[in-house]
Amino acid sequence: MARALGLLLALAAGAAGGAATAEIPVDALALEMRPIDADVLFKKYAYDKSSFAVTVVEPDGTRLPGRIEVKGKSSRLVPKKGPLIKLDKPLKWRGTNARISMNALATDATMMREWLSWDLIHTLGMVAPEVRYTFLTINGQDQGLFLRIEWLGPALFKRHGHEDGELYDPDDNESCGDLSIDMLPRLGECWARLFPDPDLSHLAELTRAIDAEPVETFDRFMARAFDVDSVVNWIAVTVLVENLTTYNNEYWPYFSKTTGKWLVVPWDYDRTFGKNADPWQPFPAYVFNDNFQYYYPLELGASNALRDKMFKNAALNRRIRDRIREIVDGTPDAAHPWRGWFAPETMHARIDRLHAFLKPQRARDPFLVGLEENFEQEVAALRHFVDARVAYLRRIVLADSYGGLPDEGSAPLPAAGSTVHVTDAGGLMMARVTPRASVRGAVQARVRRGIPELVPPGIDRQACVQRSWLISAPRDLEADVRVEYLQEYKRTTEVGPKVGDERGLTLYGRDDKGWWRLPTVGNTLANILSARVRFPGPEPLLLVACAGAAAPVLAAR
Amino acid sequence: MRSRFGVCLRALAVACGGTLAAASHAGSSLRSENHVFYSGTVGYNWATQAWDEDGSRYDTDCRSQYEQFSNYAEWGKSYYHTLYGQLGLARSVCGGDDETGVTDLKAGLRGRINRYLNDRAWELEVTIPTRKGGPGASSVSCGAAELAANVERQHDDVLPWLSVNYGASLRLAESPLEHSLRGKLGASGALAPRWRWRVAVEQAVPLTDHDDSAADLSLPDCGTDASSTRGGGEVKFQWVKNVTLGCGATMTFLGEDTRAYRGIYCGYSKLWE
Repeated sequence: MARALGLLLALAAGAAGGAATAEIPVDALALEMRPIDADVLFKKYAYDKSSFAVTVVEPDGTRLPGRIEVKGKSSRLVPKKGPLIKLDKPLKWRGTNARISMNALATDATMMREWLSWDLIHTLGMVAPEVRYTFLTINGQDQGLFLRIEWLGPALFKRHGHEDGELYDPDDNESCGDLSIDMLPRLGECWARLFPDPDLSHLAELTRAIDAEPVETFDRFMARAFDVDSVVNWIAVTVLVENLTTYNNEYWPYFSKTTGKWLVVPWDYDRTFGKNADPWQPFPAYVFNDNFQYYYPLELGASNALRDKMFKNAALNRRIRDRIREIVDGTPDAAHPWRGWFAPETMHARIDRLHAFLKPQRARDPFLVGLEENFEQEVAALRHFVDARVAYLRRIVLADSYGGLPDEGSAPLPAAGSTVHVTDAGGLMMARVTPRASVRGAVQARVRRGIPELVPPGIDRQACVQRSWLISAPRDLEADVRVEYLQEYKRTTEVGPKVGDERGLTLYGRDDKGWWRLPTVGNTLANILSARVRFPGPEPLLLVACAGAAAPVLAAR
Repeated sequence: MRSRFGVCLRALAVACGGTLAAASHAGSSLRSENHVFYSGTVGYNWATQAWDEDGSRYDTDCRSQYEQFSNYAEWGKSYYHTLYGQLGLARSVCGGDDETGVTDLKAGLRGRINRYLNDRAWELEVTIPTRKGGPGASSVSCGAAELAANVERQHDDVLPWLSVNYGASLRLAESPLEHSLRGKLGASGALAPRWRWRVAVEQAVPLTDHDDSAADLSLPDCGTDASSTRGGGEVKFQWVKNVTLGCGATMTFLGEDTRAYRGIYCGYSKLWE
């Protein structure tokens, strides 16, 4: 019995650890089209919704005719677009579905964000579409790597044990599918019922019920009306990956006649993990920007009546936080494979695995020629997001520790080669320190916001990041230090007006001997700067980050 | 989002162009496959003056009135081609002459000049008259068949608040109408969220000799040997998704052998995706 239990536990642990190291599955999909149509498909006017004749050629030579079009909203504007194939009736692809839908992954330079999000969603056991990396060729020409995503049809729900349900789609353009009573008069604009018919009366009834139910009894209402886990998981995933756009247009309420309950199917995870559209910039900067955020609270994103009452109800609020805690800090077992899924070390292993998988795939992608350097930067930013997000969640959302002051924090020094992530009372990173030697003591870090008062001679203060750092640690300790600056949106940035190209930012340290130019490694996507320093102690080391030539009095240390 | 709205409004402009610049229906954009666009326009045109063949203005014997309910539709046949047509009901009055009936049928095929872009297009268009013999002093038909070849180009977002379009039309007409060449220049832009403006001018030049036919003072849309410069402006409002309402006014500024028409109209358009 004990041996069996031990084996079970070992298998469960292996399931989580193994999931982070297992091989990434990939499919190949070969299409044939008229040459002129193949030429036009991805190059045509972005908002055109025409389709073209296509034939799916299976490895065994089977030919499946149908029509192909490109799909998406803002993703239609980029050169690599997501194709949607509709096979002629009654054909089904590999016996599953008449539609083959593929996301181009073009708005996420890592090509990992969607896959990671769906992996977590599947690990949580949610009713959700299957996804698979798929390499596409048209007329024998490589088109690159896509993420095939299962069509949300009755077959998907049947696979999860739900028959004869109703699927509702919040309109992507209107962004008002928030289940609020205020939007009820606009129900027809905000929503469509995809099947079995267009009738929205059941959704209207749900909207009124959510509005009428008092907060105090909302947990009981949810237990009666919803698959509560589906909503808890949807919110937990949204919080973990920072999906800002889900709550009013990117999710699918489904009513299961099998269970007599509603559930939520999650959707759309391309701009997550610190990346978001910038509403203050026109396309393409609207989509492709180097902004970065990891510090959004539990209540991030648009309002949603269902979510809001979930937060307000004490029992449901606790349940959401507990689920997030499990995903971040839990230990997986057979019944709870999601536990620890978001733990930084597990995530780094998962990202490393994706990186190794994607490198050769990207080399064959004609849309990604010359973007390898950017890929490495993007992946490094994704890794940083995981570290910073988890530190933030532990400090703020999971409230493992309270107290402290804004813009300053401290932590005990770790052993040589280990890293400590120092946060302030708001969960923001003050510094990340990796000592080169094991020394007893603490690291203290403080941020002064605004244009630095002191900069190296010869440097324009406007060409500096508009914050400076004061970091102290035991005297003569050598350490790798990482600091961050804010660049949330175009209008919310600490990049000085004369910085220009952020790649030119260099860290300068000032101690009792003067200014020192520090060899700096930056990541302009994660807005982090790293350098090796020697702490002067007991006075703190002052760091500023500036662009432009420094005066000759400066020297590398 | 803004671009999609712009495309929708551009299509309405094409449709309303049936009244605003009646001779040219040219559009610069094609519909997506199987998308259907409809525009219904109610217009009222009148003229109490005309220009003679030397361009001198004089009072006409009667007040010409032309009331029209125009129906214009486009259908995306494929990515490469869009079919369009126009048919309406009209009443034309001048003194004791009063005719009500079905307007001439216009039908056309629009194609892409550049296979990747949707801002320039060619058209082949035929006008099938509902009666023969040329236009009378007061009629709802031009009374002769026409074949037109059009090209049109649109420049979106020349400035954040300005788009510009221009085009040309060669019209070959059955006798007694004259062949003509027409050019137009338009501008449009956003007024406020959901609101847009548009102005256009159109110049018609006859390609054949003046022969003092009775057709000269006919409807502004008929290919007579009259030359004219017309213009107008309109304001449009996106009521709900894919539905637009708009109103405008037109005026003939200069001419030879043509009436000094003025007009007002309002239109409704809807796109089925």
